[in-house]
Parts: sequence; C-alpha cells; structure tokens
Amino acid sequence: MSTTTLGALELVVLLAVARLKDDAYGLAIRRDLAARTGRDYSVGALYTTLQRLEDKGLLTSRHSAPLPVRGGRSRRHFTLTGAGARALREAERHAASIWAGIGKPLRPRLA
Amino acid sequence: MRSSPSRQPSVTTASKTNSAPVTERALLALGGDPAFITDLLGDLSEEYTYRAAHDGVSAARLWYVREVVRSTPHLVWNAIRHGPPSARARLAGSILAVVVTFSVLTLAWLTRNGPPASLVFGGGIDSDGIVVNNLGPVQLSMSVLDARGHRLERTDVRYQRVSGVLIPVSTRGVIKCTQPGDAIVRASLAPLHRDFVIHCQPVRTIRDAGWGNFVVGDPAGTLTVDAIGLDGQPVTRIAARLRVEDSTIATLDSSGRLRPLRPGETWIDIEIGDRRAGAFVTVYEPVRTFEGLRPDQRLVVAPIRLTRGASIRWPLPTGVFFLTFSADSSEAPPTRGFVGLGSSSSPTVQSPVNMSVAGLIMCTRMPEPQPGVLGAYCLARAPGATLILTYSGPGGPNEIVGSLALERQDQH
Repeated sequence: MSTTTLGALELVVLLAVARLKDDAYGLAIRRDLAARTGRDYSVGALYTTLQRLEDKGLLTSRHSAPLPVRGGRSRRHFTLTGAGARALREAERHAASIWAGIGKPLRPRLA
Repeated sequence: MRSSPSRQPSVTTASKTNSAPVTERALLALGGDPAFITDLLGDLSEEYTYRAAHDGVSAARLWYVREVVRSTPHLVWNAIRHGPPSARARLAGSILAVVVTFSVLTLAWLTRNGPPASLVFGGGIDSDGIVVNNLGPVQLSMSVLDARGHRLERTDVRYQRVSGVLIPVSTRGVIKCTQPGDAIVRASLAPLHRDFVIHCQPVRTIRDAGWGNFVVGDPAGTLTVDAIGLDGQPVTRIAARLRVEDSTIATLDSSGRLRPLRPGETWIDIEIGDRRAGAFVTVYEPVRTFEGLRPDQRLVVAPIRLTRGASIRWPLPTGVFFLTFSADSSEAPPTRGFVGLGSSSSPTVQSPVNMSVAGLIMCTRMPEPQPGVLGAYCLARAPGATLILTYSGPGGPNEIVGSLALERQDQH
C-alpha cells in the first residue's frame, strides 16, 4: 500500500476537515485552525492547501446551496475521502512510532 | 473526485462592500483559477461581515485588504499550476506590467531633479579658479547641481565682479580679460552664490613651438611652448588644449607630456586662449648602428661615443636622406663645418667632429639649427656609400657623446 506524505499544514487541515465533518468549509477550517494552533493562516494559504489535498485525492469537495440570506453565496464543503482517512491513520502511526519510548512528559532538568 | 468549481457562479455576500467585485475582477485579470478566487473571496466576505459587525467597518476593511495581500502569492501560484495557457500568459503579462511599472517608477524617483544645491565650474578649472588666456570675450560656464549631483538646466545664473582687476563682466557671465591680473567674480542663483578667481593672463601670440624629436622607448617628454602676453613677456599661467594628429605615433598624457609610441611624424595642435599654434614631432626608432637597416626603417637614431682621434665608419643606405649629428654633452665643442660633394672619400668638416662620406653619394650641409648639431642632406645613388665620423683636433673633452639620426625622404 502506498503511503502519502503529508506536510505539517496539510496534516492539520486534513485533521480539521475530519473534525468538522459536514461543516468543513474554508472559513470554518480557518477558525478551527486558529483556535487550536493559535496561528492565523491566510485564506490563500488555506485554499492552496485544500486544493492540493483534493488533487492528492485525500479530500473531495462540493458546493452547498446558496445561503438563505440576500445575495447569499454557496459554500464549498470538503469531505475526507478514504485515502484521506488512511493518510491520517498513517500519520498517527508515524507519530506514535516517533514518540515511542518517551514514557514521561519531557521536562527541563534542573541544574 | 474533484468538483468543477470553475463552472460555479461567482457570488459574494450582499453585506460586503462594492470592492468585492472589483477585487474579484482584478484577481481574475491576474489569470487565477475563477473557482479558487470565488471560494477565497467568498470566505473573505463572510468573515468581513462577521468582523464588521463585531469590530467595526474600518477594522474589517483593514483586515480584508491585508488578507487579499497575503493571499496574492497563493493566487499567483494557483494560476501558474492550474491555469490554462491563456491564463498563464495573462499572468505573465500582469507580472511583467507590475515589474516594468515598478522599475519605471523607481528609476523616475532616483533620477528626479531636486532644487539647486551647488554651483560648480563647467570647465577650464585649476585649483583656485579659472585661467583665461583669451583676448576676446569668454562665456563662463557654471553648472547648477542638485543635492544628488544631477546637473540642472538653469540659465538664470547671474554674475558680477566683486574685486580685483577691472575687467568687464556681464550679468550673463561674459567676461573679457582686457588686462592681466586676478579678478573675483560671484555667480549667484538664489539662494546660492559662489565666488571664484578669474586669472586673466591674455596671450597675444604663441611663439612657434617648432619641433620636437623623440625616441621610441624613452620616457614621456615635454614640448616647450612660449605664450607671450600683452606686455611682451612670457605668460606663466596658461590653460592649453593639445591634440595629437596621429595618436598612434605619440600620445599626450594628462599632464601634457608626450609619450612616443612608434617611429613617424605627427603634428600637435596647440590652443591657448583664442590663439593657435602647432608643433611638429618626429619619433625615431633606436638602433645601435646604421648597418643592416631595412627599407622600412625610415626614422632611426643611433648613439655615438667618440674619443679623441677615433672615428666611426658606417654604411649608408641608398636613396635620399637627412643625417643629423647632435652632441649630447654640454661640454661638447661646437661642431662646425660642412659636408661637401664628392664621389670619393673627402674629409670636409672642419671642426673637432668631422663628418664625411665616401662612395657614390652627394651631400649638402644644412644650416646649423644650434651649436653642437651637424646636418646634411644626402643622395646615395648606389650601395657602398659610407659615413665617417671623426673626433680630432685640439681642445675640448677627451670624449664626445651624442646621437646620429637618419631620416629617409624617399618612399620604399
């Protein structure tokens, strides 16, 4: 089985989509990332990453019906694909492997 | 499976300002993917609405502009990766337009002229003023520079004499050196002014600079020029312009010294004030002897060292040529005498240094240009002619040092 290498931003975006489920559209993903990482990613960077994940087949997207307000826009919602879910699982295992053997939280040793 | 968002309509929320469609058109003009732009601007508009309600319109607008600027590199990258050829071409054009515009604006900013900051001389400068050797009117040329050193086109510089010798100075900067001496002249361009010295040294005439002989390989030498002032005395401070007619034969360095380059003759134009003169310069090729001269060696000079009672016999080429012996030592006695005519050996020079010829050759003695110089004009009809130089007679030093020059007149 081939594995897909994920960048740091790709991983957190993919996790956000997985977490937000049906509510995973650009603005919501951005807010989620800002709340969890404390970083204010630009919309352009976010959409570039979403598009790249879609190109890799890890996400799929669809447009919602226009919002029920005057001139309401349709949002583009993203959904995790099976390949995306496998990529997340692979990333989790990879992280666990890296962290293996670190039994206790790392604390600075007092001199 | 990726959807086809490019076929989706471009929409924005009604609460967004009118700048959204404008921004969208501008970004589309860059060549970006329409779907990408629509999604991006849609999110921005939604967030803008939220922020305008909570933080105020001004803060929301500031945030919006900042986000568009931050997203621009991603839009460009998106256009490069996903855009069709036409979009890429449009993007390349847009980037080129931005670069060109930026370059032009930068260039214009760098080359823009500022207000006048300094007055500088336009030419004819020495360390403390301007030397004027002209008898006629002279237009002073003062350049106006801004703080960056750019030359400004200003014609409103005004001039006036402040002190010194009485010479006429017009407000436009035309002066006339009617007498020798220094005058202080002030150039003004409000609020700037600058005083400078006019060294009036009018030159009435230039004594014939005459000629100069140089040898290839020798260090640069000077040409002596006598400029005579209104009082008949030599002018010591001159600003001369020199120009060598054939700079492959000799060149002038920055201090006016002449450096010989190859054998030949050339003319030097000398301009001092409104007077002109010239100097004829001959550059010789150094040789050890006249033996074995090639036909193309037209101007040669050989060192001569003669002890009392000794003589030198050198073969001479055929054809027409000048022979000139010059004694270098100041102790050398005048070499007076003449070179006679003859078809056989005929000692003819009656002086401590005798110059004679032998063989089928005819020579005519030339007038002595100066003591210690002996010249002859010769025609050798057939090979075998010989030059004989002898140092004899009473008095004078034990040895005479000099040079013997040969200058062919016929073309080979």
